[in-house]
Amino acid sequence: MQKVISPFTGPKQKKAPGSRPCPFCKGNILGISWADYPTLKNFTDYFGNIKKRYYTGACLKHQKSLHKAVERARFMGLIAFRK
Amino acid sequence: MKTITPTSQENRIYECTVLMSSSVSDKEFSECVKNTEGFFTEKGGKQIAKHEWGKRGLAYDIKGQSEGRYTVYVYEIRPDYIKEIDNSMRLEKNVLRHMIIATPPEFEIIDWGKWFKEWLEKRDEEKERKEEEDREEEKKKIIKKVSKKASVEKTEKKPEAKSEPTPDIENKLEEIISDEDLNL
Repeated sequence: MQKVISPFTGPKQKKAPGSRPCPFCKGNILGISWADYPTLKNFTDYFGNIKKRYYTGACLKHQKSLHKAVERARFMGLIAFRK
Repeated sequence: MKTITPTSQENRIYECTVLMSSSVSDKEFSECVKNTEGFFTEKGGKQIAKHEWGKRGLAYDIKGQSEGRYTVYVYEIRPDYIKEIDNSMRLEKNVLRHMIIATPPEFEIIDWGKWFKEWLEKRDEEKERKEEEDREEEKKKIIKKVSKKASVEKTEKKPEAKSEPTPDIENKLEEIISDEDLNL
């Protein structure tokens, strides 16, 4: 009898990068300032997009404050909208 | 760092940032700063902090300028006057962008301009250190290669050295050549 390989029993999937802990909660950071360019830079893409929290590991609360900070920094000319 | 709380319940703490054009002369710049401060002081605002970041490059051109001067103020003022100040700041000359934010309860006063300069210096130092390390590694690699080549050449040369004519053989040859009996 030929073995039937179902799509659900394939090779083991890689562990989701979203399982890593929040970098802001780790450092006890309450709020993220729009003027903090060095930290904002780490959370933006090469093209200027905000990185998804699936990849950065940021919690929802910090992701929202990060989004606000990046938008303000973009408005003030610190970070580019698009590269 | 300490968090700031307003002195009275009516007041709130606001962070105001003004981006001015860098092509303006120092006189015009100081006038612009006076005007922006005047908007707050007229309405009874109390200045808590003021930070000047100096000239800084912009991520994109604003009104045809690629450089600007940032100044950040922290004021304690009644929230009723913020709209008027915002409107008057919009009409101010030489101001490229401005932003007034109501600060969150966990707000801390930090000079981000200074912070940014320190970060830049650290980054440059790290770059130089990495470059030096790379150079040293390359040097070590080259030395290793040269030493390997030299050892290989030595091993190859050893049998050749045996085949070289010894002084005894040379002497004999000279004797044979110098013999008068031989008609060469």
